Amino acid sequence: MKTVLVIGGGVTGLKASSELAEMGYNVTLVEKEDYLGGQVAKHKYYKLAPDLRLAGEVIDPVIKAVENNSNIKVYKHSHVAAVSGNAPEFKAKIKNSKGESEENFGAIVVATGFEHFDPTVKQEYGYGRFKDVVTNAEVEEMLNPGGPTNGELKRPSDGETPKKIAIFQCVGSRDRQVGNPYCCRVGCVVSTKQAIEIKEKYPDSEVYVYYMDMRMFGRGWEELYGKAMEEYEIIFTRGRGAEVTLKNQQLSLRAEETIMDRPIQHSVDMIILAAGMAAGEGTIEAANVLGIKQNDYGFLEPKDDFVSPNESSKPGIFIAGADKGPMDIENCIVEGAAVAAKVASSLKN
Amino acid sequence: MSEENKNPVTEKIESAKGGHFYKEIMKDFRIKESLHGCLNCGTCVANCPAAAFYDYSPREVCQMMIEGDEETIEEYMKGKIWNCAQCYSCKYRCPKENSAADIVMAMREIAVREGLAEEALAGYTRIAKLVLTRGNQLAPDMLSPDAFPDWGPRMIELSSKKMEMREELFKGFPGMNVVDRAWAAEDYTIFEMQKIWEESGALEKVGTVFPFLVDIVQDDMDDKRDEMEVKINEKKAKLEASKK
Ligand SMILES: Cc1cc2nc3c(=O)[nH]c(=O)nc-3n(C[C@H](O)[C@H](O)[C@H](O)COP(=O)(O)OP(=O)(O)OC[C@H]3O[C@@H](n4cnc5c(N)ncnc54)[C@H](O)[C@@H]3O)c2cc1C
Ligand code: SF4
Ligand code: SF4
Ligand code: SF4
Repeated sequence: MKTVLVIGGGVTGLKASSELAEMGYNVTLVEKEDYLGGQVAKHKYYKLAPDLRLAGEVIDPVIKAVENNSNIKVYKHSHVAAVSGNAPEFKAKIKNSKGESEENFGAIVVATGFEHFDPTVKQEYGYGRFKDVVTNAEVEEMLNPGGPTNGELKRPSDGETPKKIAIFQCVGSRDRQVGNPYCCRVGCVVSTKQAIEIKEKYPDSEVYVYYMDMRMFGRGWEELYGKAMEEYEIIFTRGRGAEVTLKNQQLSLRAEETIMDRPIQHSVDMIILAAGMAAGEGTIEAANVLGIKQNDYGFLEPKDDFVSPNESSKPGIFIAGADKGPMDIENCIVEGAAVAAKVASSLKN
Repeated sequence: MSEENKNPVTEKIESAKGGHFYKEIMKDFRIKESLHGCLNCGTCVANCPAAAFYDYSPREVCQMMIEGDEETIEEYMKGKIWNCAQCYSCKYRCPKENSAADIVMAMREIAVREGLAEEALAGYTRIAKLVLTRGNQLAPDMLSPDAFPDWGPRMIELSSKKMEMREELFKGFPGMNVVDRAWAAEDYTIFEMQKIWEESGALEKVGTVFPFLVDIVQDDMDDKRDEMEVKINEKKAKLEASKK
């Protein structure tokens, strides 16, 4: 029986590994960090949209399924330094602090995921300059009781609980200025979820969402959006956050209320940037080591988006999850299972 | 159709795009680089200094050119586009990399050419005259509360003491002790500038909006011509000598 190399221990890679192991394949899972779970673990995601289920309820069983399966060998804090050979006879060099080993594989799955867009380059938003301009990933960490603020939303500048909070949608997405014209596909639902979490915890707070379109296409997303407006009185203003400055020591944002046709300025205590998804360095590194094709934005390119969505440009190397482009957790789990099936069928021939 | 049968709902302006002004604008080389669809996101408006003070919107400029309605375009060329400050904030912020600034500039040039700009520019007669005859575009004297609301109340308050302030500020700089222009440029400099306008065709263009200014400039030049030609020849000779 052939062994499969899975690169990346986020939700996609974990699901692919456990599905393959269930089918009887041996799996070697290589993860560059010293923990499994990817961005969900890194930023301590607390509750997931749209059901506000604890992230742990979803991710822990997927991690356990891998850790408890004797067919899966996990290398943490490691990376794939070199790959040679062709399908179905690959040789890969796996490196970590303890040394280096070379193993043979029948197929390779790349599940290296994404990075949160770094909003520092959108200088007009003042991220990095104004302490109380934070990212949605930082808010995830704050809202988690196991996080740095023990579950409290606090202004980094003074540790106070903000009363007026604005959320900017589409930061680093749908934006040719930063080279990312694509939609992040999760920002809308994540912001709506965070707004609800904030209102639930601090009913006296005011939460404003500045958006262009609320893209609520997922299961239960539109319903969550309705709930945010009807039950939580979150205010959605149709206009993209344009600029942040300081006015009388308070954050002041500018936008156009496009429905009302007027430019506005709005003083708030905290601004959350719904930073989108970018192809991470890890994905770019994997693409280089394996010699597989990337698209214009650095994400991995399927052989054919419709017909062979989990095959890379090279036979025997498969791709899945958010390294192909923005994707939510539900779809990543589907992708993990789909790529496992594709690998299994390719190894049969 | 009788009054009762009329639909009370306004008809949608359909994309027409056949009009003369629309076609002239679209022919301009800048448009292709300046309009790539529009998200209607309002980023340009939020950053636009003109939108903060006037009934003007760079988003509307882009939307209008996408819809292409001739009547709206003509109305804009006569009025709203002249509010833009040409600061280019819209261009450097637009997530579609549109540039209302460039669209407006193309529209202005066409408006001047097509005789649509007179009324909008009438208020700039004094500025145009000052530029053409003194080489300055604005003078402390021209500060009036109605004309420049965007300069703020402080400037208007200060303007009542402008001569005293200038004398104090610019002691020892004789050219600066004036309030009818920003500073006094030399006659020769002004003459040279006027010659450039004349020979480049810029003066002729100004004439399409301010015909009388052309006469003023030409009279001004005639008055100085003999004296200036002597100076020009002196300079030419000096230049020749230095080459040898
Ligand atoms: C806020 C403000 C308010 C003003 N108000 C008034 C007013 O009320 N009235 C008034 O009359 N004036 C006013 N002015 C001044 C007016 O803008 C200037 O007087 C005028 O722009 C000066 O023209 P200039 O060509 O000498 O210099 P600049 O405008 O500085 O232009 C110089 C140009 O030369 C280019 N350049 C530089 N070096 C080179 C090189 N080696 N080779 C080629 N190109 C070069 C530069 O890039 C620049 O484009 C104001 C200016 C400012 C900033
Ligand atoms: S998902 Fe929402 S926030 Fe993200 S880019 Fe799309 S529209 Fe913007
Ligand atoms: S260039 Fe004109 S339209 Fe654009 S932001 Fe400046 S004033 Fe507004
Ligand atoms: S910033 Fe660009 S995309 Fe947004 S409304 Fe203005 S022109 Fe349209």
